[in-house]
Amino acid sequence: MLSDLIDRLFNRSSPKSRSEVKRRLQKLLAHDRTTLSPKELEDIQREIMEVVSRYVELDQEGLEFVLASDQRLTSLVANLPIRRIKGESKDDAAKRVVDMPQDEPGDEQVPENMTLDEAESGERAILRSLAEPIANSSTKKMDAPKRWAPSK
Amino acid sequence: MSRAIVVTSGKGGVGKTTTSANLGMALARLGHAVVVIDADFGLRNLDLLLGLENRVVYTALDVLAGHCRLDQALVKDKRQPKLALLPAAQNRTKESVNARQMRQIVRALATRYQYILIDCPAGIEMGFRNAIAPATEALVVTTPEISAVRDADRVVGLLEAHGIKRINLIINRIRPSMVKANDMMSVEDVKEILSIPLIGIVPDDEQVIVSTNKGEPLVLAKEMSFAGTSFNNIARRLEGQQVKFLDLNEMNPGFLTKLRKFFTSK
Repeated sequence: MLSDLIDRLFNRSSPKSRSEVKRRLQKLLAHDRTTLSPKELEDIQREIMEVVSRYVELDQEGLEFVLASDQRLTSLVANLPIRRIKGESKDDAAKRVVDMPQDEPGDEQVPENMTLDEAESGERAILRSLAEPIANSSTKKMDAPKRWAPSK
Repeated sequence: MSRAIVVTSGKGGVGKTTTSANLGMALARLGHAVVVIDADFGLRNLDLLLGLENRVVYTALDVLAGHCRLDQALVKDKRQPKLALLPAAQNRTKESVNARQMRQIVRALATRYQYILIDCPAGIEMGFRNAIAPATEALVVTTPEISAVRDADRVVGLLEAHGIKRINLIINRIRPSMVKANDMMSVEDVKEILSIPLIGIVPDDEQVIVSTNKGEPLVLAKEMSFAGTSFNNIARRLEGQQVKFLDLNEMNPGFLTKLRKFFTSK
């Protein structure tokens, strides 16, 4: 009680700077630790998209392409939501929705009486670079040079 | 087998020289032959922290120029005969030595000393590159502040690029009461962000300034300060001993903590 009063008196319960500084540092270091320029990052993204788009139709809206840093290792994390797999019949697409384990809870099952069109629009297979084997090709996840290296 | 360890940080004023002086003395007290090299050419300070400034006759540059022999430049500590200092020149710049010469000096010292501590200058330019050139291990000193941690991260990257694999972290100037109030990054926070092995935590301690004033390393004090204990512990961990980290919550209770205790203890 009295110690609470002291806390309030000295404004000790307000949001603290410790979490703020951690957040700032983590963001700062993810960029410090990579040698990629924004232009290069953009080029990689464009080229990966070109390759992946040959096989599947991507959902342009949900694309995610970020640099993440963990345990002194910088990774390029790409999240490419698939709208439709090219050259696949609608029957196959509907079947795949039922068979494939999905990340989104709403997509777990397709009711039996659902029409094919409904099934297709509900299909949002998301390839995660780390979790899904198809997406885990060398083009999707890459270890950026770990650190800034001195230019000789 | 001799170990050449560079003490570095990137940012200035975080405690490199204090660390070098105290670890050098602590390791010597543990019975090792130790030499500390001041690699901060032009801005030497290590002699002051060790209280040896009046006994500096020759410097590393005189050795390289052939003006004296290596052992003539070494200042042996009278309080602790196992410790020697190789001073830097004060009236020259960091460009007056190169990496090859630093390696030459360290190779010559390695025949006689078990531990060679190199006190690195601030920054990541020429002086830094010279200081890390002969090192096989590194101690990265940082404080729980954003600029110091960022610089430490950069330095770790440069050390890795230089092929130094054994890199340990020392977090200096921790203020337990501020960490408790969530106004300072904790040891765990900094460790998590930098992701290199931790070898020591040193609390913020007024005795550091007192010891600098006297030119007497903390580890020599009769009544051991928290910071002095921390440096002794780091020296023992360097030797390979398992030493528990200090419990920061038990030290330096701030005014508010004392006040709170006073009210809650009834």
